[in-house]
Amino acid sequence: MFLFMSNFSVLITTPPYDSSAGASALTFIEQAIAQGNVVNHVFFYQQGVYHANSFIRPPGDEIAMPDAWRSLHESFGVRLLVCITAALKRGVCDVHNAQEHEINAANMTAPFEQAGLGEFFTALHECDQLVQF
Amino acid sequence: MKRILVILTTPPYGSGDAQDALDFAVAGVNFGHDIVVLFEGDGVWQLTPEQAPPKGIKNVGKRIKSLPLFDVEEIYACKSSVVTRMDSAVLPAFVTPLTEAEKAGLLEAASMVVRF
Repeated sequence: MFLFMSNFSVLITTPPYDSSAGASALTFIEQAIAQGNVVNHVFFYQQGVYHANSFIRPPGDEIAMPDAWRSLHESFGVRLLVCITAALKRGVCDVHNAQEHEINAANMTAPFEQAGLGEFFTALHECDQLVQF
Repeated sequence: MKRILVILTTPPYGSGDAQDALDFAVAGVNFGHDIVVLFEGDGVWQLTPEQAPPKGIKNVGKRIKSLPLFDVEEIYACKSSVVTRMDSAVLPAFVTPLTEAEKAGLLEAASMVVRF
């Protein structure tokens, strides 16, 4: 139980499936919110950007991480910021960038938002805790 | 403004971690935070002098050397990690070695910690 309300920033630097950190992050966020805290945003950096890949299709009995993040956003309005430099380097691309770079498909859609380290550090001014997974 | 401790724990070229951490540190300062850097474990290999990566790969040593120019002024290395791996005489002058107790103090003084 948190003794006082915190405003959290969650930083994801690990990929889905090759690490269980994403699932831990989701549990952490749900619990933090349930206990009255605010989760300001989730920032996906490094291999964390793979969480935003909507082409991901795990076997039916495994959690679909992009969908899990989407439903987290729908339930609690948590902003899902994806470092666009890290994402494009790894083939995670929204419609806008697909057009700009003449790529014939886009695999990153709302509520994932393209962002940069600048947006992350600006939002961080409002937060008092940073948790990395 | 947050005081953010960035801990670098991986070798310079085995992954993109060093580059990503340096981008992270510089962006943090640019957007109004106080960034403190600590090299720990295999991360101290990033401080190896005279690195010569092939074309297309940024020189981590040079990037670290430029950190003070980007207003990242507090740069530390874990003393025991250094002694285990290299001659501590090769450490750049702007890097301050820290004992375990001093490292604990650094962690305590930070408002946020990120590890690469």
